[in-house]
Amino acid sequence: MGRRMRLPSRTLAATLPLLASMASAGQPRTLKLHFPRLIIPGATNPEACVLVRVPATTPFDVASIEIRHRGVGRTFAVQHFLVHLYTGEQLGEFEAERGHVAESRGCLDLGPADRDRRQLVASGTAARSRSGFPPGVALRLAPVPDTPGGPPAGLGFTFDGEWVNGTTRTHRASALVVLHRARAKAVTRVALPFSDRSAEAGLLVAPGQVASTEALAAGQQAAWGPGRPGGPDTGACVLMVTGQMHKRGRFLGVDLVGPDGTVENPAGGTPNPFAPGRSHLFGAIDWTDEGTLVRAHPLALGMGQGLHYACWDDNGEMRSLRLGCGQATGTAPGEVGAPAQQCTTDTDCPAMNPDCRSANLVAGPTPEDEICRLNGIYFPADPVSGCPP
Amino acid sequence: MIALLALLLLAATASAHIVPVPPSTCAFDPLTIEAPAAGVVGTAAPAGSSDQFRILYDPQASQAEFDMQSLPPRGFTAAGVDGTLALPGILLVALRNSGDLVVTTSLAFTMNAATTSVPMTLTTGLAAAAGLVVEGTPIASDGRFALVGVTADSGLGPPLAGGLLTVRLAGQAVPRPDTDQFFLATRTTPLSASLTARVFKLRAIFAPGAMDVPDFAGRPAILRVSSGDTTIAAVVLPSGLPARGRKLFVGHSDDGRAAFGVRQLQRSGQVAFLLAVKIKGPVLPAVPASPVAVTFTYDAGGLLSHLPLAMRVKRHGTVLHYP
Repeated sequence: MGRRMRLPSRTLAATLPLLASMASAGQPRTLKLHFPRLIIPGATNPEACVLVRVPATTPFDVASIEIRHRGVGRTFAVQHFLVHLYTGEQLGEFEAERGHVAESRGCLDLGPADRDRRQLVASGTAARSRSGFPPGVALRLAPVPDTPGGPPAGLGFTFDGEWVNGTTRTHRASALVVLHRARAKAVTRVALPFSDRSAEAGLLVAPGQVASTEALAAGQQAAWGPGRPGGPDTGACVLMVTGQMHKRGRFLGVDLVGPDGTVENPAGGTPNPFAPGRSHLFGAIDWTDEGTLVRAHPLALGMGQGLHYACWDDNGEMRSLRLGCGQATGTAPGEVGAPAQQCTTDTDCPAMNPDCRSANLVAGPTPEDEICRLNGIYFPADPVSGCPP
Repeated sequence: MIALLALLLLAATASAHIVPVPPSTCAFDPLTIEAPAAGVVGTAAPAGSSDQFRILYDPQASQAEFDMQSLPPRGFTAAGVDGTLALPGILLVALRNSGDLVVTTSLAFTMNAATTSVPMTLTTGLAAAAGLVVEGTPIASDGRFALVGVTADSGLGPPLAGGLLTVRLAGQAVPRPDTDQFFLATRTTPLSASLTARVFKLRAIFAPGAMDVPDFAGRPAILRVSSGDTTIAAVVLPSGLPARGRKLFVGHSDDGRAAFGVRQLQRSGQVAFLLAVKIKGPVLPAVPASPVAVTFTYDAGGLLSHLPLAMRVKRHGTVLHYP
């Protein structure tokens, strides 16, 4: 049994100074991170977010992640609790949000401009849950810089909690996230997060429409896998698959495809609500909590195979219209790579495009724009034996 | 480890839980325009099918999007003169879990071949101008709501001339949106209240929503006490609640008739305030039976809250009190 570093568990503020010495004094056996106490009024369903920065200069290999909830019961439950690893390059901006609990759907209203660069690494709604990896596998959490181009400075996490208080009474909730470090001698394979956003080049939805990223050629080709751009050079053993969308995303589907693009999904997948008769290896319908596909045995992807994915986005059918500055007549503003300037009234718009009107929905960095990303966790396949059974 | 993986699987296969908020349809009906100084009330013709519009909901931005792009200007008649009222094609209206709606926009009035744009904040809470206080109605359980707005200087010509102008847009959102997912509104818990012909007194505790930062000294305070259609008291404090130290804010009306104070409380994990109000010379409502439904609505520091009170009747209706 390795050394266990016990940290005060009352407040996040009390935790961080001790963690600050993590890199210099050797890595602790566990990292304990807190979601501060939150007041949940009766008959409400809030979603709240906390950003946590843990100073570190070397990777932290995680064997398991434990989530403990306080205050929950039969009539007061956790709807979701997600632990996202920040993979961007502006970790320094987490400091400004330190200890602050922000009410936000999908945690899109706080954090740095590249806040979408994040990976789901754990989730749990039970009073106590623990997410682990197969024997010998550890997830490597790599430190990221405080500013773009800077040296590794720490680990960033976004905690995204949603609670349902079905009572008339006010309840209090808090959570503790414990990252258990893998013992170095026990690690035989290092798992890594992966992310692909090539489908966003196919994201273009006219006002009043629902459209798929597959409507454009760029979206039809979107996939991640061995030998593909952004993929590993060897085979990949995929442990987890998830997706990422913004608020106008209504469905994300993932297919297993062969080298020739043929869909090779196993039977019994997730039905596509927008394409009757089509099903997927994995499907997500909730942009705030996409869920995950976790394999009891790794999904082996050989060279040329891949995970194709697509999003179905709604610009004014059931979700709100994207508004942008343009001309009152003519085509809707906004095109792939160039989202329309946001507005709420005409006064927000420049003289050149004076009218705040319905705009095309495309991919972009703000919560008003969309994203369509495939995320997951994998480890490289052994060149000889491939993926373990 | 196998057990750990099993737990991971359990966590991972938890079903998604999104609760979509389906769009509503709505039409403003009745729609009234009033110029109190001129004593003129304009009423729009009953809403027809072409006056229906859609409301789309955005819990992430905590907004309701009124899509009125295909709506023609609404005709109305005031003092025998026909006119039209046009709203912007799309209105992004802030929506709270209490059902309160607020938007600042511009209304285009066309009368006598002239179009005048009138900036106005429409709210289901309180609005005030030139001493006049108007109150709307948040989205009720049946989807009904009423937006109200008032301006002291509309710039309109006859018959709505005179500066002061009020607008009331009532409607019913069908289906009624589930507002649980929208930002938390200020929550007010009553402690005590009493009402006589001499004075109205109230003490309560309120907690702002998680995203609210109140500015008691920097924003006007408005409050209204009502029972049904009867206004018991209405007060406007244009200078807000001046600070008295770091945690106490107290405002008085110019005539000394009303006092409104809030004090920040020390509560772990929650920002909360104690509220105290005293208003002299209120109007006693008719008391058909006990208890009497009284509503205390306030907008202070940018925080809006409606507090319903079931006040018990004593001394043949001359004293109402809570609890």
